[in-house]
Amino acid sequence: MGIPFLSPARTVLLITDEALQIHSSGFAGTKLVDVLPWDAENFVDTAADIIAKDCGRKPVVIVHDMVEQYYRKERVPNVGIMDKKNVMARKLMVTFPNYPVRGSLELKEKVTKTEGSLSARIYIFSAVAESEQLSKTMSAVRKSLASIVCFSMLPVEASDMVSALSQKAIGKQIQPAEWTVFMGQHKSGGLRQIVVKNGELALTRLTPMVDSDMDPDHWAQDMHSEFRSTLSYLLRFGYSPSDPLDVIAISNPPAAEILQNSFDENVRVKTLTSHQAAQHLGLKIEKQVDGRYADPLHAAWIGQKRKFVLPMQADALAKVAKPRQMAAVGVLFLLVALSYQSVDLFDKYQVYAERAADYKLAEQRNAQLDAQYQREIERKEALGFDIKLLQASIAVYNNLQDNDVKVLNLFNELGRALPADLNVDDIKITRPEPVRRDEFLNYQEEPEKSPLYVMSVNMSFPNTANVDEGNETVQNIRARLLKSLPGHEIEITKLLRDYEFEDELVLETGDRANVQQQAFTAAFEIRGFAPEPEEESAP
Amino acid sequence: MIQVLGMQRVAILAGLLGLNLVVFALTYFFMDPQASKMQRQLNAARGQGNSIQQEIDRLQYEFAQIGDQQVMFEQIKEDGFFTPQGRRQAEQVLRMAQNESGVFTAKVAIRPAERENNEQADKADHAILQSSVNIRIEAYDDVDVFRYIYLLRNNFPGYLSVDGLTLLRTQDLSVDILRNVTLEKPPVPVGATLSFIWRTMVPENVAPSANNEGGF
Repeated sequence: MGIPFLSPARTVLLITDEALQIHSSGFAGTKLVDVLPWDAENFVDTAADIIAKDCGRKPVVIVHDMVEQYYRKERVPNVGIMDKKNVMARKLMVTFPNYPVRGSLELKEKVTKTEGSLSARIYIFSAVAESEQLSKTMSAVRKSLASIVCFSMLPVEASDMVSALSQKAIGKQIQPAEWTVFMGQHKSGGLRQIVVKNGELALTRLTPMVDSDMDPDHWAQDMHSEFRSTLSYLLRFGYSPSDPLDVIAISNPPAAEILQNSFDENVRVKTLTSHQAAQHLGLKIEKQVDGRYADPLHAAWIGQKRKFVLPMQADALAKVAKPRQMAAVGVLFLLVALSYQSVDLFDKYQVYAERAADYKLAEQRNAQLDAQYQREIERKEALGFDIKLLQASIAVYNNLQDNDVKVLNLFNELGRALPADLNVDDIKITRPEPVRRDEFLNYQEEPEKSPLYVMSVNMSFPNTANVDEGNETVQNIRARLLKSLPGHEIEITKLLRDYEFEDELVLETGDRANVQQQAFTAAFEIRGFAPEPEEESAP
Repeated sequence: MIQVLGMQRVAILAGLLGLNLVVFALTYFFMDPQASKMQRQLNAARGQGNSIQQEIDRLQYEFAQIGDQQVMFEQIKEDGFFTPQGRRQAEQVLRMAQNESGVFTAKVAIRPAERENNEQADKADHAILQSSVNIRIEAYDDVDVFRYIYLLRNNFPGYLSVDGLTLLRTQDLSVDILRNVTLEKPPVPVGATLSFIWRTMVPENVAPSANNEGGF
């Protein structure tokens, strides 16, 4: 079956003709909690109390095991998936109009399309009649406040158990037969026979029989007699006496041998106690249970199921089950939401706590910095003068020096550069207006650097001087000044008399020509610039 | 509904819903705002710390520089950089320069002082006073002019910046000129015009206001 510790915890309510059996199922196994006869006093309250208290209000599986169960094999034409649910509901309603609890199970068998008929699927339709037992059980469940997992029919839900048992108890030695008959007596005394063909329910019978195996011969004879009746029914369901058939019978060991010997048909008989059968199926049932009773085995099997073969539908059931299922889903959702929100809250608290710790550290650091700042201020005040004034005045003074014309230095360098026989006629120093940056807004390139000052020097040479030599002298002066005045631009603006194509020349030559010699002049400009401002590196 | 679900289930649902609401409210109406508030406080504290640290760095930098700057500060103070441009003191320096330089005449015009905008001075609650000083000099030799400039720049209170200068040799030194040196109005071979800007730095309350166009 499943892994024991992962087995769902459930309460299994077995509705029989005589009483309500209440089984508690869980990872520790399945045990019979109580058997309540239908005519018991305060039945509903007692049953609800047992479900709520003794069974811990575990989810309930209701299993119907009364005689009055109705099964019909029906053909349903193939319809689309969208319509299938409605078609099935309508078909069920038509088939069992007076029974409130209904269900359908699709079989493997199919009807192929022929000339006269459409293709169809074969279903087992089942229904349960309205009964006092059913209404009492529903009232008890409603009152207990336990949620309802499923309402099902025992023979249908046991069909897969029969197949599993056939595989495990018989199939180990030989190939299991196509037909398997499971025979098990219930505490109520009735014998439940479940016939399975290829793993699907084919026939079920619940018949009364002797409720004691004290006389094993009598008990085995009863069992065999019921089996023979079942075989006669089976012939109508397509069984042929030559077909292989397995019989699994739940019995105590003393009666088992007699029972096996009583079968003279062509069948393979396997007798097991309910404990042995449970062991084969991986189930746990109480040790105290009489080995010939099969109902604890059914309760254990159905109680551990995760998927039911034929869950029955009923309005009364839905009215109780759906709100409780929704509530369970709601609880689960709220628990998940609470977990998520708790984690989120914790994360945000951690962020807050980290920031609070950082803030505390920052405050401590600020207090230390404040103290240090106060010490620096006291140190500053101890100097006895205004540091701001000191720094501002020096900055102003340095700026004035940077933008001043070192006029005496210029004269000195000029004097060194000039030859001794040269006369300086005039010197002029002007300070041009600095080029305003906004005048160059429309230009991509940087404006030309504006000079801090321009020094114009005019010189005169004797009229006897050689022009070429004089020009060379002027060039030499420029070279010397360039060397002694780094960072300055020096431009010769006028050389000694020279003829260029733009000059006008009037010349009188000959012995009687009026020749007037005049002095030669030359001029140059020195352009000085303010030093580049240093980038501040200090705070 | 309670009959179907039962009081216990309803109570559990209500309790879980309530707990969810409480945790939601705690998260988004308490913890989130608190975390944001703490972040703002943290940012403010860090900003404050950085400001104080910058102030400390500035002060320490100033202290590191004060050694050199103090000598210069005392020097410019001694040179009269913080005086309110007393004309009497200027007159004495001008006379001394004229006498000691050997220039023949020096005609000086000092314009009334005006306030000059200067951010550095503003920081120390001081202002810059500036006066135009225009001088016309007649001399026998350009060297006398240079000496005159030298004496002015080294003795004038405050800072005297050169704004313009013209030095013109009007006549060559000839035998005739040398002979006439002793005359009452001897010929002058060198003429010069000097333009200076005289600046000093004075406390804010001493300087004329920024919109006052008049001078001292």
